[in-house]
Amino acid sequence: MFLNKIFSILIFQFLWQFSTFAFEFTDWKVENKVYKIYFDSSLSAYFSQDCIKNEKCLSKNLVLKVRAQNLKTLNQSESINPGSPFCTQFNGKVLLARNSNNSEVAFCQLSDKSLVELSGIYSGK
Amino acid sequence: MTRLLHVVLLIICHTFLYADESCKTVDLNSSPSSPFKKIPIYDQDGVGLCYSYAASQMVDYYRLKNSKASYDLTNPVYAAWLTSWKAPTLFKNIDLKGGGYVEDVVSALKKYGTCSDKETKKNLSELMKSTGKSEAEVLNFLQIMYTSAIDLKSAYTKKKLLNLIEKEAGINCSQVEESVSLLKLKKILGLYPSYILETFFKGCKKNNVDVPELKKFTIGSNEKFQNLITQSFERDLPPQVSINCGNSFFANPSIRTSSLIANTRFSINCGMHAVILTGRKKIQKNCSVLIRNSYGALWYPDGAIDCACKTMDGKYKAHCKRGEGQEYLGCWFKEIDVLSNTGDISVFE
Repeated sequence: MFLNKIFSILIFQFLWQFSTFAFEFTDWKVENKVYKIYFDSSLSAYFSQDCIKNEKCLSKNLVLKVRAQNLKTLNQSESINPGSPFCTQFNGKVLLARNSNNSEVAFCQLSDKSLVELSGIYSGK
Repeated sequence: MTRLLHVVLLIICHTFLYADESCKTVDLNSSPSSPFKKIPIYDQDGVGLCYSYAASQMVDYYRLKNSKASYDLTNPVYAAWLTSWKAPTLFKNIDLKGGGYVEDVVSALKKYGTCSDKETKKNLSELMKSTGKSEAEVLNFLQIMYTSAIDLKSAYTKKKLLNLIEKEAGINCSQVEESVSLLKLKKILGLYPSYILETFFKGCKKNNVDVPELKKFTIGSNEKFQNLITQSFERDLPPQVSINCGNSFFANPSIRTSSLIANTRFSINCGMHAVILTGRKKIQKNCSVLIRNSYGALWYPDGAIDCACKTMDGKYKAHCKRGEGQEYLGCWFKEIDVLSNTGDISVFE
């Protein structure tokens, strides 16, 4: 019985690894926390790892909501990153992350802690 | 007959030669020793500092290219603050969200020198931690705090101020309280805004910024602006362009926003967005330019032809599909679309 459980866990882990194998991740750091980010080809946007195959992920919902309503403009300035007001309007928090080259990317973090890259909220053909 | 044929051939050759001359292939990112390999892709987030991000990158490109790297990098947020508060002029906007001009940033950096990127980050790190914000947002917060610090004295105005900070800077009440304690501890709460830099960056080494001034052009035909771009690329330097209605343009580059009445180029519909050009080449018979923006390293707008990237194995590639790069270094747009929406252009003197 005990061995069966261990075997099931191992199989589950193997399948999980296999299912995420298709994704390439890049590491982005906020303070000391590292987030693994992947490109979701169906939504054509970058999300955090926890959104893989998770339809309830709030970041994906935000993207779908904004794009469905075709919210292209939020009466905003033409010289700011346009994803920023979309994020705060939907109660998200903007996080500025850096990679090993010190390049920056602003992500929107929703209450379930999932992330989406700001420009992916409104664009992605 | 032979003479006629010669004339026709000459005209054809001239047309091709002229076209190639005006659209020579340039890519300031491609060389292994390109200064852009050392300059990160920035994200200005929700703060209107595009002009300072563009100017700082131009300054760093020039310094690194000419081996004048006496300090690491120019911090765009420090440069904006320096420009707004330390070197204000009658016509200059003293609001971090209100925009500004690249040539003012370069002048201010030349006049006052700059704190290095490393020191700027170090000096702001405590506030960045307490607010959970980037340097740009922290300075935006400081600006609101300092211009409204008197409001903290009464409960009513304090509530209004806290609401404003939450709305404008995205910093909640407890984060504000924590930051206020920090400012009190540093004995800088309530100082006049122009003293912030001196206080916050006390002891920071002022590095000399040895670059030429920027020359700005606001009036001229597309051909004139095209020549300015050519001249800048011939000197192996990136030109800066301000695009009218930037975000609308990036989504739909076929829009035409610049007034070309008497070549004045302004737009009555919206403001400008500063970017730099880092390449030029023909793509599908169209002369195209590579725009380096400050919307983060994963920016890949819908209206772009495609974008240059650093691939997953770290190599530079001039044309990448969405999702192919670990970071994108700029995106290609038809030059005629860029020129037709350009409000002004600045190049090194």
